[in-house]
Amino acid sequence: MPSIGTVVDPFGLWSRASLAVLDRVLASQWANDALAITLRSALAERAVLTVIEGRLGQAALAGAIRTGLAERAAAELVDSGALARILDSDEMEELVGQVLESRLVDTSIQRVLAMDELWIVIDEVARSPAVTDAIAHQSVGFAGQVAGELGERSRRADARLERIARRLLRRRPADDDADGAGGAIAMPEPP
Amino acid sequence: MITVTAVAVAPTDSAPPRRYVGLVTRALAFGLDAALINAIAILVAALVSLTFSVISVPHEVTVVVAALGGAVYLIWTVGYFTTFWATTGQTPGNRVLRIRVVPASGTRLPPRRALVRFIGLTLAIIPLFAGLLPILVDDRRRGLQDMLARTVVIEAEEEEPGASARGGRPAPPPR
Repeated sequence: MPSIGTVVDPFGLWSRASLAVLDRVLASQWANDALAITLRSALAERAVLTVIEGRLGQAALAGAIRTGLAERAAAELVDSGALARILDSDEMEELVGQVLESRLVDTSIQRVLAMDELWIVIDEVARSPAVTDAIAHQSVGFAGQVAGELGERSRRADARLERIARRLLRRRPADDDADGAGGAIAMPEPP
Repeated sequence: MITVTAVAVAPTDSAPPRRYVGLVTRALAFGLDAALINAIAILVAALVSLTFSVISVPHEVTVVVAALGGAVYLIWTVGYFTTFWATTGQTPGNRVLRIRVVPASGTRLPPRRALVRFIGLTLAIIPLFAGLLPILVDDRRRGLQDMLARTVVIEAEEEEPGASARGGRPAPPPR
């Protein structure tokens, strides 16, 4: 059994004519102006709020989450390089600066510092063998370095003083004094 | 005879010769020891003084305690040096400066000779340190105390790799 449309307009002329008219209307300046006026109106604002706050908004949000819209959007941002451009932009730098200067950071730091867990972790780290060993090694190493430097300087002073004394007494220099280091050479200790 | 010669040479080849240590290094080591001795003595004296400040004792007792303290200080000083010289050959000050007191012959200094060395050191210091001046001109850098106790002061062995920054050039073959 043929449909009513086939009977009334067997060649589809009426439908094509209607679509052509609609295209014309939408492309007209009148339609653009009407749309602009509508969107600026309180009615449009109420309509949007109604959609967002209503079941439709919740359904849209749930659908976006279920279908992974956020992940896809993030992937698209990364793949297209848009994220890198955003991060490099002056606006992002300004945004981060404002965040850092805001009370948000201060409050966050204060809350972190007030946490007992933080001090437990710090205490554990400070008492860990790795840290205490490192501190001990550093102290011993520094003391050894100071002692080594002191010994080196005192031995140079030994040689200098000895040369002066030998010169005053007109005695020959020590046998191994050719390098200026001074000092006699000790024989190896007997067994 | 041949065997004796071989035994005598072997240690010479295996053990590297070490330098005799001069006056400045030894004076620094002695200064460190003196500081340590006096720091401990002062701490003990302070504790004793505090004790006597809160209890009432006759004046005679205080005098006896002071005399006793002097004797203890003397024993402490003598014991400090002789013990370290006769055992490790290194006082803490010597250890910091990496020097060692050894007998001119033998491996360990007997306690009696360590005591002689301390007496010799005292005698060397009394005439305005004149007894230490031979260190400047003696071939083995010996002071009066070394001559009396037949000791020499040499550089201690390296204990840490890479700690050779103090020594100068490699030692030549022994004379």
